[in-house]
Amino acid sequence: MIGHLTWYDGAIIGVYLAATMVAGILVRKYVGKVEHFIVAGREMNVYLGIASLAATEFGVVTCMYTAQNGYDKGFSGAIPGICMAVPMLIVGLTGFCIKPLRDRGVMTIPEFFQERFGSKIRWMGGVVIVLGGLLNMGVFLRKGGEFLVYCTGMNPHSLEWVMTALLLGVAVYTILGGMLSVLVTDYLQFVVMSVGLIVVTILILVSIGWTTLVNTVQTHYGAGGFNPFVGKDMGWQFVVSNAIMNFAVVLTWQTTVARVLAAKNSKTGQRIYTATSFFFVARFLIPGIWGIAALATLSAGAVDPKNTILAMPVFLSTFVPAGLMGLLVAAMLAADMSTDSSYMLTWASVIYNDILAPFRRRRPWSERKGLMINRLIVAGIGVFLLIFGLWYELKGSLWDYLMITATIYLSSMSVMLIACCYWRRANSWGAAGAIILGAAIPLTFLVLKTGADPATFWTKPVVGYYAGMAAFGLAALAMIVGSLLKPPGKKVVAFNG
Amino acid sequence: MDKWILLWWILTAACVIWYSSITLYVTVRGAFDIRQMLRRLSELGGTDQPSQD
Repeated sequence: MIGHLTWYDGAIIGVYLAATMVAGILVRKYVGKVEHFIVAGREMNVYLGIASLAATEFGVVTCMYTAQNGYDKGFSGAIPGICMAVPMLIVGLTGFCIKPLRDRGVMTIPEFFQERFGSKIRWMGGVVIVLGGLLNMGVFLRKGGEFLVYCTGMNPHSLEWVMTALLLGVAVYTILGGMLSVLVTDYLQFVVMSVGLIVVTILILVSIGWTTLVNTVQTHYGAGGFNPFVGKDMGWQFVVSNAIMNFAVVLTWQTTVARVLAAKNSKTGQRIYTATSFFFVARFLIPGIWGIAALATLSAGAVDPKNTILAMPVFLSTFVPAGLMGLLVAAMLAADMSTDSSYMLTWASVIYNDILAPFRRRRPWSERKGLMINRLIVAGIGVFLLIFGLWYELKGSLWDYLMITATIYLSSMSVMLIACCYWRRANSWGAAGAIILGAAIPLTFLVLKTGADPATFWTKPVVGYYAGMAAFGLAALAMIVGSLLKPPGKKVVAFNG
Repeated sequence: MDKWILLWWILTAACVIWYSSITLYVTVRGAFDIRQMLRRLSELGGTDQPSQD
């Protein structure tokens, strides 16, 4: 017995890990071209797309911050899920932006911008996407490790080893099989993860009861625990900033859009979005309920008020019975591995496809060389994650950190994508302005917040919401002003002249 | 506030029911999609041509 795990818990986890690794490694033989590695040859159909999108966008880190939202904010903390489900449904039904994006046959969003805005903008777009994406993903590994250590009752000093083992397992099949391995393992991971999530949620609802959960939220947060507009540290700023950011996520979050780009055609991509939209309500509400259950059952001293993110794993370690714990840990490993693999591959594909594009313009690389470089980049990202994950200690709300780091590129990319698709006058000057202003505000805020005393202005949640909204507003303004200032008809200068 | 509690109750019930159903459906249909995707990639095969930008 290790911690709270019995031998049959270990057997469940072992079978899951073995099946995933075997499946992920076996499909490597189908990878013959860069296009197979990055977008699975664009052969993905609807149901595999649903499984992959859901598995990718639900990691342990997701479970941690949504549960933290439930613990800290009550049901109101699940509002971002609704803010994401609604635009995803609308975009899926209408094909807004994603249809022209998929029809163009590109592998990444910056590639789509090249024709309209030029090579320099493509390159700049790639840089901010990777910067925002890697900062965002940098905390995934530590949070995944923390969940496993606290939930299973393992020695906290083994956290670094758990993180390293997690990453190595994911890196092996991602490096070998790229998007094909990611899709096949995502499918397995979706099944295991979903069964675990549903079973534990039903157990909570049956054992603790809906009335107890509601009463707990009422006692701790009053009306603000149900209505986000009156909740502490929320209000309209929380709802509006989440609505804007999640709309941008639906349009331009590279791991989400990668499923549209890997789909057989734009119609399939739209169907994947439409069918998966409601999953994003579950993505916030299910772990949110786990967080509320932690609030209802844990004693006052069981959780450090400054580190409420650990409330949910501590609660699960005492609540989930042996046998089911194996399923839960397998489900969370599945969630973590599917997210890590997709994110590593996605940022690697932007580095290869867009940031390194100028280096292969004069002399195109062979498919073999392209595959090798893609694999090396994925491995490099793995090393970065390990180093970043080990030394960066996150303070405050994980969701707020993820929102700000994501805004670094979401603000400009969403504005550029909409302008590129639907505004004839949009040009490179506007795009450059959007990228610079869209990244400058969240980066400045992040620096100010990181160095600030906990009691100062910069650490207030509402300041983060304003910073996020300002980044989107100024990126849009820069796009409009810059595009109008550039004389019509002036050619964009490309990297190769 | 009661309206908000009702909303969260409906959403929670919908999540459990919808998520259980879609998991079953996607488990079955997704397996067919994987088979079809791998068969198609097998037919197309891989090449060692220069990659396109």
